[in-house]
Amino acid sequence: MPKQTDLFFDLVEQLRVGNPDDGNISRRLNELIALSELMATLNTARELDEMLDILLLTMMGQHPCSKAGIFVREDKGWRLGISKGFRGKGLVADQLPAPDDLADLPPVLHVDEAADGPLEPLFESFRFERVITARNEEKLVGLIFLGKSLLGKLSEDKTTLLKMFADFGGVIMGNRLYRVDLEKVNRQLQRRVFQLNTLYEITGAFARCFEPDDVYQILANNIMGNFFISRCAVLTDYRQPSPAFVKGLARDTTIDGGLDEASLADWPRQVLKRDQLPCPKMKTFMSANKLAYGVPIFSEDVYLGVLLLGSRLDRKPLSDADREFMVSLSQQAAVALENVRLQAEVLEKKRMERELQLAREIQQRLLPKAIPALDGYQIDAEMRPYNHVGGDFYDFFQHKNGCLSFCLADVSGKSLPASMIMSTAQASLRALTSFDGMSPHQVIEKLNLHLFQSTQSNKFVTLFFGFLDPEDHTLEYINAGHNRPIMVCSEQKVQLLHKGGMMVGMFPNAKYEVGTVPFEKGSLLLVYTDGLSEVADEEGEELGDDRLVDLVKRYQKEDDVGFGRRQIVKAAMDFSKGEMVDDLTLLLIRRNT
Amino acid sequence: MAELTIHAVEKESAKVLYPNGYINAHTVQDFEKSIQSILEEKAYKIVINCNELEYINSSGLGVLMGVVEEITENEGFLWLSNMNETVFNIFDTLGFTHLFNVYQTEEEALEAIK
Repeated sequence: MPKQTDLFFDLVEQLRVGNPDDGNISRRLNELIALSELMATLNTARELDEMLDILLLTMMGQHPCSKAGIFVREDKGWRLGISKGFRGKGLVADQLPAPDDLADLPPVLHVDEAADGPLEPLFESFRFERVITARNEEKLVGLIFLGKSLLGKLSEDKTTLLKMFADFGGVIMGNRLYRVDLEKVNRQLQRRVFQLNTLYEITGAFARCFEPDDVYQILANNIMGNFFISRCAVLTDYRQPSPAFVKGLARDTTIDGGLDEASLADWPRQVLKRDQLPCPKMKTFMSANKLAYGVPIFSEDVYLGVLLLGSRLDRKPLSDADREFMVSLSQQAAVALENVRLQAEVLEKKRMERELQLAREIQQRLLPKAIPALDGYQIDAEMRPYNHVGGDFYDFFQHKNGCLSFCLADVSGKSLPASMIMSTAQASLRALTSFDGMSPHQVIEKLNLHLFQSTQSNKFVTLFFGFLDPEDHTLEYINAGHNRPIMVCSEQKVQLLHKGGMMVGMFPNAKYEVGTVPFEKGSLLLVYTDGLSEVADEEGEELGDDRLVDLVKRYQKEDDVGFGRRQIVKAAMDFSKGEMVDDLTLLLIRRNT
Repeated sequence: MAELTIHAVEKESAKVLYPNGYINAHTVQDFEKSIQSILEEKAYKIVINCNELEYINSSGLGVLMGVVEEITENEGFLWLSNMNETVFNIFDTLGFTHLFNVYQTEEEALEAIK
């Protein structure tokens, strides 16, 4: 404080050289004591206002007056630091112009010089006599107003002394001001650090989310915690009248009739205030729920929703940095939401694959493990599922009397539902054929009724059921709405086995006719599903019954029925370049001897 | 070992909560559940004794923000006590110390209820 010390030593020098008889000496001494006392007490005071109190009292001692006050510069305006003679009221900072408008004030301003100046109203209202400015590094930091001096006109020395006091005031008020500024900057920095920390933490938290709700929770908690917000809602689907997520407000809150379709897509990628929103319905919803801001949740070009927030309880406005922070959090949330969705899809796909694999295993187990041996006959069969699991099956039932029942069936529909019905049909059929004495049409009629009762009305099964007697070589059969099996005898004569009735499982009272054909020596029978006849070439033309008849004719003479089966399948696959249209099942029986 | 344990004790007419450990991204849901379960019991006078609380992140503060309206609507309060320096700084940085009553000790808080 060179200025103050200079003045101080100047004063000491005046004392030293002055005539001891000089009448001024005791006054000078008194001033010196006041100055040193002030310095001593200022050193012990801690609070600014306490220091100002000491300062003002000291100055009022040197400039005796009944009213005085010190205004301290704050961030943007003035604050009354201390006042005397106003009983704590009356003197307010309202009438003071902004600090920057007073930058040119002289060190001491007398009321006579203040006329028409910016401080005139204050001088007038409170009958001050002079104002002394307190500066710190040239910056105006305080105004010390003093009332009318009871000693009359002030001497030059006294004015100098008052200026010195004011300089002390400038130092303490300035320091305080800088400290406040510094604290403010510090606080802002700390907030930014905290926000960065939040961003860092939230990344990890989002990575552990499995449900969209988890993501909304994290996003809401972090933003609410950072900005003093006590309520929020997330809107995702404009068709949904209720928010996807809410916190701090009623759960059953709804938007009347949902939002307008375009409202989310038009959203700019920034935080908007309620009155800037593009959507009137959303505004109404926000007003009703005391929500003030909207933060878009977007990822790349896709808008996933909007986070609506209540106003800050500390009533501070959102700074640009705050808004950026909110947007970056919501962007991260959007990525997390996408991940959650993809994850769910992958899990669902895996689950379905597992189920299908299981169903396939069960189905494969239901198919006969071995083809039965029948004297004089060769039998072979194959089922190729189109997907993992199919709705086709074949089965054999050997009777005690040496006869053989066999069946090939095609369940309507595909995949899991079809395979469930297939299992039911097969189990029923096995149960029914195990009763020896039951004729083919009784078996199929009972099967029909059972399937009708145990499946949905639009599900049905087409099947071919055969009962072969190897003693007299007759085949009794029922064709229940199925592709007509092809029988080619040794003279290459072709028969299509069409007798029977409706598909099973649709009409509870369906009746079935039994067809009977002799199974001549050298005859080859092909029973198949449409998965074989309907494979198509690149032009979309199906393989068709005629080509199948030709194939059966070609392999009728073949002793090895397994070879014939492989050749027929190969021919079909060559025709369609390997493309299947459905489960492909075929059963071949040839009488060799 | 759990990063956060919370137990609650009824004292005077208030519920005093003792979070022990860290309220962070891993544990914030437990914290929220504790607070919610107290509100479900219709207890709205809550003191959180932070003596054993090592850290709280912004989502933990978000939990407090999310319940503060319900608490005031039901003529309750949410007070804090016994904060260590780290925790106090977090609350202070964000200005929470101006919105929530903060007491040096639990005893002072309980005394204030009377």
